Amino acid sequence: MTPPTLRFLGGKGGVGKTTLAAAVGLLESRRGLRTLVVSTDPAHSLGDVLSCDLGDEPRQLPGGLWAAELSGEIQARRRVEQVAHDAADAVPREVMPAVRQHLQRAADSPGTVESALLDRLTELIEQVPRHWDRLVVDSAPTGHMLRLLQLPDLLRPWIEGLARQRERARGADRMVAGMLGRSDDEPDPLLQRLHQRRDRMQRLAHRLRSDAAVHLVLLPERLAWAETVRAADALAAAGLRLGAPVVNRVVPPDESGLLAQRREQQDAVLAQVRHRFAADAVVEVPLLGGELVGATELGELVALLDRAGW
Amino acid sequence: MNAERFARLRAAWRSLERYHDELFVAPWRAGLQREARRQQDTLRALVMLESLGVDNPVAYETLDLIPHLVADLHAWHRRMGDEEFGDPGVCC
Repeated sequence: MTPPTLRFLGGKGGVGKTTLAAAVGLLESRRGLRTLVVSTDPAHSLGDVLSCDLGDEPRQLPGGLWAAELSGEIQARRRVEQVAHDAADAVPREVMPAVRQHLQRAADSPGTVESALLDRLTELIEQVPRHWDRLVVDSAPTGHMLRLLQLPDLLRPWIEGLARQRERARGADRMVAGMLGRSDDEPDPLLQRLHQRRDRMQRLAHRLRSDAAVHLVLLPERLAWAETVRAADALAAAGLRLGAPVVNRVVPPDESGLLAQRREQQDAVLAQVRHRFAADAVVEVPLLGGELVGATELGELVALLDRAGW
Repeated sequence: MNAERFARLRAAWRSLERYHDELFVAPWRAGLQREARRQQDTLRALVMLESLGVDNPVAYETLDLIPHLVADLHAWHRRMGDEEFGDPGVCC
């Protein structure tokens, strides 16, 4: 199987997705691949892990890796500005205040930040492989990530419905125009835009299925495992490829006392993980002493992923 | 003689045509125009749901349709002879 060019790391909050995403990014970039790692979690911590300031625009770190913290709000604002700017040339000046109000209301509607985030991610995905060899996405907690990955399939029928409605309206219009002896055969800008939007969603859904892998990250605990199973089922049902899962903070076998007890519990979970993901090599990351912050400290994790065949 | 009869016949045909147009074609045309408007209104309502206070799951995806739909509405009320239409924030 070809290595996925788009990798998503998903899992519950606090399991170490961000740290792993950073490590995967570092690994790929050290191999000489143009790699961008982005965080989509509104509560960003990628900058903290890589110990640098990050924003919505990708910036290059000293080692060669590029990183960004994506923001749905910024993207939504940017798009409203873009649409208003384009409209200024296309519609009468006196309706512009109303246009702006309608745009603002639409941009404030629930779901917009999510859609905007997906839109920004789509832009970046479309830059692979032209600008980037690898894109690593540190996703928001499971539910959020699932929704983000399923969004193209949820939205497409809506856009198609709107396009059909517009076609019906155009059809009725043309019939009247034809009877009055006017001809009205110019391409319809609205219909064109709806079709562009639909095609973009379609391309994205296709890319996610063909080029992406989702790596679920979990701690070796029973509750975390239950959620991971649900996420894995939902992702598989959506036709997405599951990459090797990562079990983080595994207690080494030579511990004694309290940690030895933990070890017994986690063995039961690990057995289930290996059973479920038999085909993939499960990556076990041992419980490490220090906190993993900064590119040098991440080195150990990078080496581990390298050995695991990532 | 023949020419005169021909002209009379033609005039009769014209009035018949006019009669037919008023009685049958005009209402049909009006119905179609009404239908065209209704379809446009449906689309406008679907895209601008949040202006009606309804959540629209594809609001973000259809942002770039809004200026055109407002412009259509503007052109329509101008054709109807209203210089201004609705509250500020609806059109102009």
